[in-house]
Amino acid sequence: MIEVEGLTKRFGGIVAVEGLSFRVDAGGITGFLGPNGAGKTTTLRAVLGLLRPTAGRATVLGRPYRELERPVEQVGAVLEASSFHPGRSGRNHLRVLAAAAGLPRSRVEEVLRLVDLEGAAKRRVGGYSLGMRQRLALAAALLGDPGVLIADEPANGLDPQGIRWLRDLLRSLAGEGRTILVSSHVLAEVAQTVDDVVIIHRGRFVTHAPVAAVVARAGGVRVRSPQAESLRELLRRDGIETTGSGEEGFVAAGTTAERVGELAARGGIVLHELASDSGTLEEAFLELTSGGDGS
Amino acid sequence: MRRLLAAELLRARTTRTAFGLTLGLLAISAIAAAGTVASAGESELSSVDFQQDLPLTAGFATLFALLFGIFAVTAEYRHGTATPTFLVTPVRERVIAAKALASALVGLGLATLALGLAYAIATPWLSARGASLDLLEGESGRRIVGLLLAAALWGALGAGIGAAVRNQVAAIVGALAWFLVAEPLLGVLWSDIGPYLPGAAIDGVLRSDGDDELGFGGAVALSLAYALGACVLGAVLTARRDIR
Repeated sequence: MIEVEGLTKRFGGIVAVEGLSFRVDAGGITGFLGPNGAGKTTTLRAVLGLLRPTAGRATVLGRPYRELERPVEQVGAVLEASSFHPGRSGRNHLRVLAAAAGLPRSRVEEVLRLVDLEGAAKRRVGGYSLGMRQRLALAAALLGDPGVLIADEPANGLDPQGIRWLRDLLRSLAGEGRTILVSSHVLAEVAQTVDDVVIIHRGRFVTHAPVAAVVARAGGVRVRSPQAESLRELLRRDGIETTGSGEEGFVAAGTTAERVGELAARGGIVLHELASDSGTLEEAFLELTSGGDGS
Repeated sequence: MRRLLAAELLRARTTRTAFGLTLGLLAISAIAAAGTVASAGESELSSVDFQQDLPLTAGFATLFALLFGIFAVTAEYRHGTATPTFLVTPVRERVIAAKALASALVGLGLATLALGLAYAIATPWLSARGASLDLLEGESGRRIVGLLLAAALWGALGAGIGAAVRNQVAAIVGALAWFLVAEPLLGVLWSDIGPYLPGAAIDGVLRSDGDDELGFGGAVALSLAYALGACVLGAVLTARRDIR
């Protein structure tokens, strides 16, 4: 569906992406993650035919973007939120794009409704908030009702309510059978939305896995027990590392609550608290992308 | 291409740039036409020389067409709209072609409006002063056609320049410096190549009296080649560029 093969992109002497390969299959939402400056935008722009790869290739639906027959109806893209003429109204921005793509004007009204922007449609974009621009960019991406949606940090500039709205919209779009690739530098922002994650760091591939697996990999389980030392010993024998101790309990890494619970039961150990620590989600991400001055 | 052309014309209608340029042009044309009629003596009013100079009062349409063409392309980079534009039409050469065509049409429209205003001012004024207008006399007809053509060519040339240069300020300053300063200077220094330089060639379309070096047909052909050349260069550079 979206395929990046050995992609390298240099800007002058700066290497933005190096030898990056990954594939996003049809259906579902994939998170494209990495710290700021990891090369996410460069990669997405190369996929969309806006940047020429220095080496390697990027294709959508089996072809370079530039060779798509009807790109607007095949692939929608939300890139940075500043791609508007400040003097043009939101509606007219969409009308120009619809005219160029040969789409009916009624489609403009439909996408304005979809992103809740009807009220502001006749105002000049210069007066829009960042959140409204994001919505307009999303509306533009959906003009052609594409089967593939690529969004670069669409949550930027949205307030918590907006992020929730975006999450629901992406979910419902994916529910209609679309393939969605959404980038972010904050794992927590997309963790509840995405099925899989592709993580890159400093222009290189780090991992591609179901989001649950990434969490489990550094998987933190917070445990509190009056027999903490015996339990830690049991876990250690099972190859599970633990950190921290004392009143607040300890954290067992790289495992699941189920596994810890089973081991405790087998050892006849009393548990006062057993919880998958969602805070370690971000830690997992940081751990995967640490090394050097990243994150 | 018809779709893209319609989109470009819609683009032109939905910001204030084109309206501003049109108003500016009409104001200048009105002053030029009024000044020309007012400053002419009674005896001159019916002369061929005076009458065939009237279309030239709308001549600023060419400069405004050039500016429009430059704006049409460089605004895309200045405001970042190049990204959605090239996402919709990834074969970027087609976008540049549509912009060149749209700019030529806008140039044609600007020249029509400026000419219309010039004659709307001159005609009643002349008859009030007892003279009548004869468009068939002298070079009037050819100059009217020439101005329409020249404005269209300047529009397309502007789009080509804008596509090649990309930066709005650089394109405008560079174009004005070349056409208003450098080229006239070169024309004086090397008078044999002067008429063949792009600005002079398009000016020849407007002012040719038939027996200069290029002639009307030659000026049209050479100008078309320049406009086309600029657009092809702009399109090739645009297609190769990274849109960041």
